[in-house]
Amino acid sequence: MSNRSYITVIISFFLYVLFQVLLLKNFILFDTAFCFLYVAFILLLPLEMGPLTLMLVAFVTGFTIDVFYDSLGINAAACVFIGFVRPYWLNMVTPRGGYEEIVIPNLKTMDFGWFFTYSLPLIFVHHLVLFFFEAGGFKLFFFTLSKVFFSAILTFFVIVITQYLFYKKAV
Amino acid sequence: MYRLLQLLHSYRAFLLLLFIEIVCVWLLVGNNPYHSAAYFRTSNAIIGNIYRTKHNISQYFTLPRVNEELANDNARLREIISQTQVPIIVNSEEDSLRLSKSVHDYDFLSAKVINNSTRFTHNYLTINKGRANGVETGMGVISADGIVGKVMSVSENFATVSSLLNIDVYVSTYLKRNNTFSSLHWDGRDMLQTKLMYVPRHIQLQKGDTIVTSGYNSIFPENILVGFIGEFSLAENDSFYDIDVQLSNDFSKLAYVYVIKNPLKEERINLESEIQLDHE
Repeated sequence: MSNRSYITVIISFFLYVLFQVLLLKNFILFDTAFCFLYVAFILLLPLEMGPLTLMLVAFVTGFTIDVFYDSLGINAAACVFIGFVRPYWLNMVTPRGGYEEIVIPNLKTMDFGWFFTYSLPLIFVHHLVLFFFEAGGFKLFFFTLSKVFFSAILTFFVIVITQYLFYKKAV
Repeated sequence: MYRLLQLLHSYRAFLLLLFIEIVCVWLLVGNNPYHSAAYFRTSNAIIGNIYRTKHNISQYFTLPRVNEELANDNARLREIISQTQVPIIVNSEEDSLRLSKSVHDYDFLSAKVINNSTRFTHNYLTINKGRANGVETGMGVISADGIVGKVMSVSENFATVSSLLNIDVYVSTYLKRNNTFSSLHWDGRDMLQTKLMYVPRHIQLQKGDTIVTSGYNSIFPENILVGFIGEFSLAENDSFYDIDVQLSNDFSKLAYVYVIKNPLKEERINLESEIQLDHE
């Protein structure tokens, strides 16, 4: 990885975390849809990053969010899990022509259909781990599942909006 | 040996996952020394300061409502003062009101809520008073409208409070009209509603009955408002009612709270543990 991409990763880490804990923490629709935009940080890490580095970065991200949410271990567990799954999932959804010359898998470099199949399942898995960990088991199964479902949709929606707003399309 | 290392190497990602997930569960379950420590919570100095800065900006949007609430609270307290003949000593150095010892065992310290969550199954608040103001782990927290929670971790200037909206918390309560003891427990769904447990079936209930704290623990004083009975039902074979409670507090609107200091808490706990020892 070049120095430049290191700096981009570090800056976007702070931006995502601060935006998450200062604004989106209070942004909850209909008492069920939570927004965890910071997941985009893990989804958009450079492709060349090795699986171990990826998982450690994901752990640090989740842990930082946890400290702000007073939910020690929950976001960290969910983040590490999608950090682990991400390389396998990327292999399974390889577009025609592979990932040649693609550094970061975002809407600038990929088309919408690919980004949808790539990010939505990962977001869903992240939320699944997160909310069931948070509920401490399956006692409130359908209530928690509805939280997972609506939150995943909201998070995906907000991620797409931020992509269109802040990642300019390469001409 | 080399083969073994090779095997471990090929599964390194999965092993790391396993390791980190175990660490996460260990952090989560809470039987560890870090759980009550203030470093990894919102009572941490850096995080507390970030939230305080945020609160300093966002508080302006709720000022009219908060002022009105405080004015109402003041009016209510003035009414109580004018009705009682009890000598009251106002401590001018700290912003706390102290009733004289012969009347009450508790001190109240006012604090501002700078961070709040209500929609998870374990909810927490952060308040802007800490060890420097005499706040300690385990103290009760109430607001003008009723009980709020219990202090969980404390740093120099901030404290994290575990809210009543937490599916692991039970509070000993008392039904005022029937003189019955019961237990309050949140089921994790609605932030305005909780459940009341262990009310036996021979008790006659009415919608709107007042529920207050029982004073059976050393955290909350007696007679602090908790809520009112809403819908209730009794299944054929159950020995206890299924009762919904309307909380008197709207947790999403908490602005100022009072931390309860009980100077006699240690004495009480020591005495009670002595009795337990005698029994054994």
